[in-house]
Amino acid sequence: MKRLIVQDLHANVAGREILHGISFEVAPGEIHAIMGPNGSGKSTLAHAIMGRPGTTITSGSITLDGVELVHLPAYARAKAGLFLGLQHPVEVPGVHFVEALTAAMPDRSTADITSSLESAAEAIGLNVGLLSRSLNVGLSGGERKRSEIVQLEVLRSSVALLDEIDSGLDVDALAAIGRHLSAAVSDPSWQLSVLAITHFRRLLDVLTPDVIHVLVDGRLVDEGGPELVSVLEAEGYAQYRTAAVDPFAL
Amino acid sequence: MRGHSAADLLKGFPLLSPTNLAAPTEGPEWLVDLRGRAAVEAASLEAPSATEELWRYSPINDLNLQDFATVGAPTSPTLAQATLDRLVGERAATVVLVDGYCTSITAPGLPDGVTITSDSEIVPSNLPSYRSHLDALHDALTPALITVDIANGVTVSDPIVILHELAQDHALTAPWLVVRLGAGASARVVEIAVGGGKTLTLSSSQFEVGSGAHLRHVAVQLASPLAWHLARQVATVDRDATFESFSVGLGGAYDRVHTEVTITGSGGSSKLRSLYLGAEHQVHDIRTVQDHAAPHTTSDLLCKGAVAESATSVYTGTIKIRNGAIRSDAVQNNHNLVLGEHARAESVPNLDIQENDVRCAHGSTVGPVDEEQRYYLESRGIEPEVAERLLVTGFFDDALDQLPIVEVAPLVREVLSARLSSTLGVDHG
Repeated sequence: MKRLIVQDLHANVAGREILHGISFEVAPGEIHAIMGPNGSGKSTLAHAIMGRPGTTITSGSITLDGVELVHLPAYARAKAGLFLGLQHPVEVPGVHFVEALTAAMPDRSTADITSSLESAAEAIGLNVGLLSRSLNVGLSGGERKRSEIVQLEVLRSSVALLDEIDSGLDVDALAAIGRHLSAAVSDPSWQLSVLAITHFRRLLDVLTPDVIHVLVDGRLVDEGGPELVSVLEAEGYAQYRTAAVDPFAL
Repeated sequence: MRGHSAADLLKGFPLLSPTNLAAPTEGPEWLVDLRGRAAVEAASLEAPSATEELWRYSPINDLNLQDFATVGAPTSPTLAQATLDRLVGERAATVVLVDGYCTSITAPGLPDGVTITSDSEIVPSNLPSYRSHLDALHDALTPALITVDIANGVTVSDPIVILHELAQDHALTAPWLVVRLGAGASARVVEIAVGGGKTLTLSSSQFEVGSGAHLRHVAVQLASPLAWHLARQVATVDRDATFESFSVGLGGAYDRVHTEVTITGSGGSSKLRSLYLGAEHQVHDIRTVQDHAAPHTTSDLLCKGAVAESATSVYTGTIKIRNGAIRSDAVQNNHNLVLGEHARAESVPNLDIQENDVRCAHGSTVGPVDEEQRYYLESRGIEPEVAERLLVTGFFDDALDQLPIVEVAPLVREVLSARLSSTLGVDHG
């Protein structure tokens, strides 16, 4: 039963402020989506919450189940219950799936983790044979996205931040992931919370959000229910943009 | 015996007392003879210096021969059995050397046509000329030559293990091994050096791989962190023959492996791998020469190392393609992980190509662990030290998968993992 609360979050990358005060809450078992145009700060928000080195939180608060996370390194935030499914999961040569997850969960046996991995892979439609490889090595874009969800399933994190998990997936794979995540969200023993960052409605068709937040230029400028997707699709984000001031217009 | 006094050895080192470098006197006449000649050569060669290309970046100027003394007689092996017990599987033969002296040769199941001895009366051919004072000093001080001879067409399936135990503290050890494979023969040879004290080893291993023969060789250096361990490996590879050699350097204050492979016959090939892990103030120094002296020859080298804390590594490799060695194909890759703020890795490729119709590729990288990979693992909840250990182990993985003698893999993985854990400050597992 972990609630993620983000309050007035400001974050810099390379000395430039990208997030200008972000606040929202995700309750256990809720699905939230962050939508916004390219360059609005969506990925930066995911990395700021996860604790990526180089993404510096200058002020604000991120709590999970009342525990302040902003001063904790990424691994400690993950241990507290956060999971980040990356937009571009990197290849990690020589580090195998089972090895990595055993290192992440030293209290569980390798055999136990192996069997969890295999059943999650079957459920999500990832070729079980790929799990004997090094992390993501030689996997296609779509397979990497599925491998992220497989890892989430094994880790059973409380909150999944999913950065464009839909890109590179075909319709069937997207549907399988949507069904799987929806089941985890409504599973009373898990009550996964999802914060999905996406450009497209096609993910939200298979994973119905409770709340959609609109992120433009580093600020949350609107929020609504699933109906907001159609509005954004029809009208884009121009309505949220303040007209640029032309200094030579006088 | 030919007369030469210990003082003869020391002309290159006028500050030394003559008492610490007494040459052994036993052995066949040719060896006694060779020691005498090598001693004269040693005296005429300059002491090694880091200003020479051969010793560039090395701590050779810190070598003080007065810290070491030759050993008059071997002690009983103590570490040897424990190390052998960790090597699972059958062995065709086990040769134990203690401080360079051969204490036992056990060969229960050798096929006909295989001879392993420590007192060969046959003078080895291809004795190298001395380019370095220490090479000459090795021959002047070596207690015995171990020869492994495999006749034409004979295959030895199980590994032949040569165990070098460095037993006495401050011992100067000069072991010498010659392995000769006749035409079409096949064998696997493992050399393991273990020891606990501050020792100086000048080792020499020579391999002659006859036409169509296949020799696989693995050398694992597990000397103490105080030891100076200087190994010289010289191989000649004949027509259509294959030489595969894998060196693992984990111990030693100064660990040097100088490997020189000359492919003398058309269609011959060599595959060289080396791996090192340094911590504290260790120096790992890998020198290689891939010498193509015949047409249609191939050589493939991959050298991977990691340096932590204040450790240093040096890789210097030359690809030499001689005039006439057309259609030769040479690859040389050296990759280094630098894990400590004070750690340093030098990587110096050299090409000496005297022929046009050849293929030659080399690559070199020096850098820290990939930040994206580290963040990826940490985002799964893996602690930074554990993530780093996984990434460094993973870095070595592709090389380890190519160990030419699989029976040695568990030992190598075990000692590497233990060293990584102690170096990176994480409990194993």
